[in-house]
Amino acid sequence: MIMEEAIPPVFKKRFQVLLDDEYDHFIESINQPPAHFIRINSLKINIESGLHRLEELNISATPLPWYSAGFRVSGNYKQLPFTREYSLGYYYIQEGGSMLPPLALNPKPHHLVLDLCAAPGSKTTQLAQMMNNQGAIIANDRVFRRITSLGHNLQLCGVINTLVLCEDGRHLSTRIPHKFDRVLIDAPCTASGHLRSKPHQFSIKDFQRIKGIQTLQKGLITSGFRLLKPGGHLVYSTCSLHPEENEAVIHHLLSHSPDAGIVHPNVPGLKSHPGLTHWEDTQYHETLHDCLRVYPHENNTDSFFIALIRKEN
Amino acid sequence: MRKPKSSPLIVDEEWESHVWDLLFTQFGIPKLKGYRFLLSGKKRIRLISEVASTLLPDVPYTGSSGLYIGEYSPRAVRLTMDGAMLLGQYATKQIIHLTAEQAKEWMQGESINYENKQRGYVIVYHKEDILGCGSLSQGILHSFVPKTRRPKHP
Repeated sequence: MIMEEAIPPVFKKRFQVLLDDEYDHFIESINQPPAHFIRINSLKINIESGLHRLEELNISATPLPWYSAGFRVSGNYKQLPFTREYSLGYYYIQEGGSMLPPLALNPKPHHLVLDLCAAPGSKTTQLAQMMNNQGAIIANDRVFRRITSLGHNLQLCGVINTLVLCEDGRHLSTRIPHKFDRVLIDAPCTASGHLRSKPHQFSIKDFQRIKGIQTLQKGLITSGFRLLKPGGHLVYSTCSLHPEENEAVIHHLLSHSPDAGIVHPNVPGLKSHPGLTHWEDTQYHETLHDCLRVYPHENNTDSFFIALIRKEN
Repeated sequence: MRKPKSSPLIVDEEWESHVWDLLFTQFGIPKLKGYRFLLSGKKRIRLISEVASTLLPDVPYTGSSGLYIGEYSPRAVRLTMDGAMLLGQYATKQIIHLTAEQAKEWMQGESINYENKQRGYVIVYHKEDILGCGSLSQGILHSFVPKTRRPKHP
């Protein structure tokens, strides 16, 4: 848990501006213990049987309104990683907000999908599940040691439609000749949206990193968009609250790519705020209103930013 | 950053047919459509969807593509836990069922007593769950559950 006093003043001021009259609810929610979530891996067990097994393990599971395989868990859930069912890959522990970017991307079983920043594989394995292990996914991460955990999770979940690549995502468009139906960029970020679940990661130093990380994020979205087929969709997401890592990056893409357009993601059951169209002295594209800002006080998850972008024909 | 080494990766129809023949002979698993086998290193068989396999020539190999389903030898395939879970549902022979107590021990990597006429690699079930692949010889069922997958509360 994090107390309001522990938030550095520079962050507090930002959050007050961002959240306006909802700031108190936001603070109240981040002072609560984080909720716990799992995904039933339907590549290995059907949802009904998965729920039945959870009952036998004395774990209560409440379905998430926005995803039929996602559940908020309570009761004996801390024992889950030590059970046979977990070893067999029936369940995957994944934060509720982290399930949103693949849902916004909505891949179909025949699609060719690129996951540009894939490790440790939560969203890749969810994409494979949504595609029913059909089509193909290229899962890329530039850090080789993270590929090990990605490989482990793909194996655990029984994924067979994925190739793993270890390249700098910013230069991938020059390395592989394919064009993709769907591209997911869950970009490296300061993770300021994890205030509740990972408060120990929350540091004033992150604020000083924003500029550098924004350069990386702009490089990734430019490269990812180049790898998209005309008519294809790209999701850019972060678990950061800072507009510099979110709206500013999308604004950069829209300003340099006339064939890029924002689409409102269709995630029924999710409560969200629209993206910002201005921040401090900067005015962004009006269409950024169609991005999603997800806050903990509305869905009991960590914060997320999600933009769905279409490449026009 | 350490860069991955490229490994030789074989997608060879003759060898693939040989692997399917072994699976049929050992377990009665028929040849399934839409899958391709890769050989990673000297022994590791990885299984990949046919669509994904068409991308292989353009993707430098990192060792993690596809699902590691078994270890190859010219006379038999030893299925991994995930290989048994994926392909074992099609098996018609070399199948054994464990009791709750036996399953508990076996999942912790222990060899257990199991009197049975069958010999060699077997698909191991407990109720409706496929737990993996074991080796049966002289009344002992050996476990190949990897250390990282042994549950503390099986």
